[in-house]
Amino acid sequence: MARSEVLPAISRRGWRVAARRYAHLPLLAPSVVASIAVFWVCMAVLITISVYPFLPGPARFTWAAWQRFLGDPFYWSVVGVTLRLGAVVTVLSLLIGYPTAYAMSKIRRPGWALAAYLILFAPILVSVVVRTYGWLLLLSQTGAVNYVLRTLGLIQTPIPLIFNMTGIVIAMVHILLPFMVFPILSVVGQLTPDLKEAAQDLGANRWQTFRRVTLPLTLPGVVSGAQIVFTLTISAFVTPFLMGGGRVQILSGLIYRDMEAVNLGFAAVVALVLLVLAMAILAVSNQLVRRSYVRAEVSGA
Amino acid sequence: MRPGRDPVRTVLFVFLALVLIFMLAPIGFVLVYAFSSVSYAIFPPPGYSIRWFVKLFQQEALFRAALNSLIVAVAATGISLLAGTLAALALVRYRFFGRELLRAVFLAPLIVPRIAFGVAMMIYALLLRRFGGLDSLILAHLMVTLPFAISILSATLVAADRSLEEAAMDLGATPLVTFWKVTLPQIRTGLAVSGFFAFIISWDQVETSLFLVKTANKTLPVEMFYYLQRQQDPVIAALSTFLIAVAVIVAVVAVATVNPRDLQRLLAAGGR
Repeated sequence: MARSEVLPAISRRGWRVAARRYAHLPLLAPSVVASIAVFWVCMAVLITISVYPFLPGPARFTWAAWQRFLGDPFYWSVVGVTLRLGAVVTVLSLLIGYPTAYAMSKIRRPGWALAAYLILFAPILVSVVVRTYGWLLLLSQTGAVNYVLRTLGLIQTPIPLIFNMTGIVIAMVHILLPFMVFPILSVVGQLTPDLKEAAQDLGANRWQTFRRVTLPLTLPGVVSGAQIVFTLTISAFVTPFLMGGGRVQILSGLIYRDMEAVNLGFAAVVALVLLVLAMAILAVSNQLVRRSYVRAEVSGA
Repeated sequence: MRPGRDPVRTVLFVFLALVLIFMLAPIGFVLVYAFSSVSYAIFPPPGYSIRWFVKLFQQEALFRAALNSLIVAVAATGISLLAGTLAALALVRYRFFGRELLRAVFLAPLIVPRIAFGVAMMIYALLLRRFGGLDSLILAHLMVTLPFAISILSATLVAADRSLEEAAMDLGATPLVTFWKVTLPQIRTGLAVSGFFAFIISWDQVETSLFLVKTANKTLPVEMFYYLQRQQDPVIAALSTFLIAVAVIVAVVAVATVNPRDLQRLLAAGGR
């Protein structure tokens, strides 16, 4: 009698233990299935198609697309232009974004701070296509920037600001600036005034305080902002394509051209080159950060 | 020290003001050109009219595209929130073999350039004969929005008070009741923010969608992109006035309801 009462209790407890131990599996299932069946299979498809192009004709193994990319100096020059664009946009975003974040952290009135946030943050909500179109309007030969420069007598004939690298850089900096400002802002906001006061008490001037105290402490924000901006710049398509007007060739434009021409194997190769570049840059910059921390610890000890 | 007395501070604030003007300039000019009387970009516009709004309302393709975008964004957001909450619960509340690997599996799409993923997705859809439908678009967008939902919701769950959940369970609540009555109210902000991000990311997705669309399933940003390539008359500017108006309302609501510190942290984390 007593036994039959105990047994179900034990088995129920055993069931509950098992349910607890494996409860994460049903929770993970939807995301795991979706992520593997779509994203990871996609990546496998991309690699496969770069050596097994099935259009046009039947699929057979060939390195032709890879040989075409790696063997042609033109494609290497496109890689060069892409990386240079990434570097220029990142450096400019940093030079503009750092003082912006610093100034935003110094705003004392909550209302003004909120307004600054709103102005910096709201453009993200407006489509990239719309913002790029805005720059096309502003920078065209008959646009407002050339009008102002001519009215001020700074130039005689309108200067070409679109369909070249200048236009791409201006619009890209505008689109990516928030992604540089926010990571920096989140570390600048955590700075406590006592370290700066200590530095100044020890006789450091403003520049020395900034250089030796503020800058090293905000470096993690700078690095993560720079990583985001660089990787987003080299893989951006809409803005470089519209602002470049087909006259500046970068990797994403090559991909678009080859997709339009249903040149899937070659498009896959360019996409993989872009992916490898993005990953390499993340890996190298993470390594640099780690090393600089180690050095800081060593010199601090 | 009052603002303005300190020269460095003054320079900083003047610089900030210039940057904010720079941020607003292109959007402001789109608004001006929507009311221009001519089809080309000239400053100052020779006259003002509402003819581009009239022409806008004759563009059936843009409205169909807007409807497609809405369907795709709502679906991608809904699935991201559901699947993302479950996955984040498992990642934060359970210790199991391969947890870190799984996190990497989930977050990897953030590293892959979207245009590269777009190429892969197009070929995959072609192989599965699902090319040209909204379903392939929803899945493609889901791959971009799900990592955001998982990372934001994981961060929110880490911050949530676990002892409350344990107390509820000790008092006899089932896991489901505990989740519904104790956990869910604590992650409400995380859900709102990740839903918001997922929607915006999907709504403004060009690179991922570009190769997946045919005439019938074009999304709004893709349709606008193609329109701009065909002609640059201010129809897109007229359309943009509505999009900008919605964005401003959304931004004001977001800034007013979400704690600025949270917003800052999330923007810093969610660069992509």
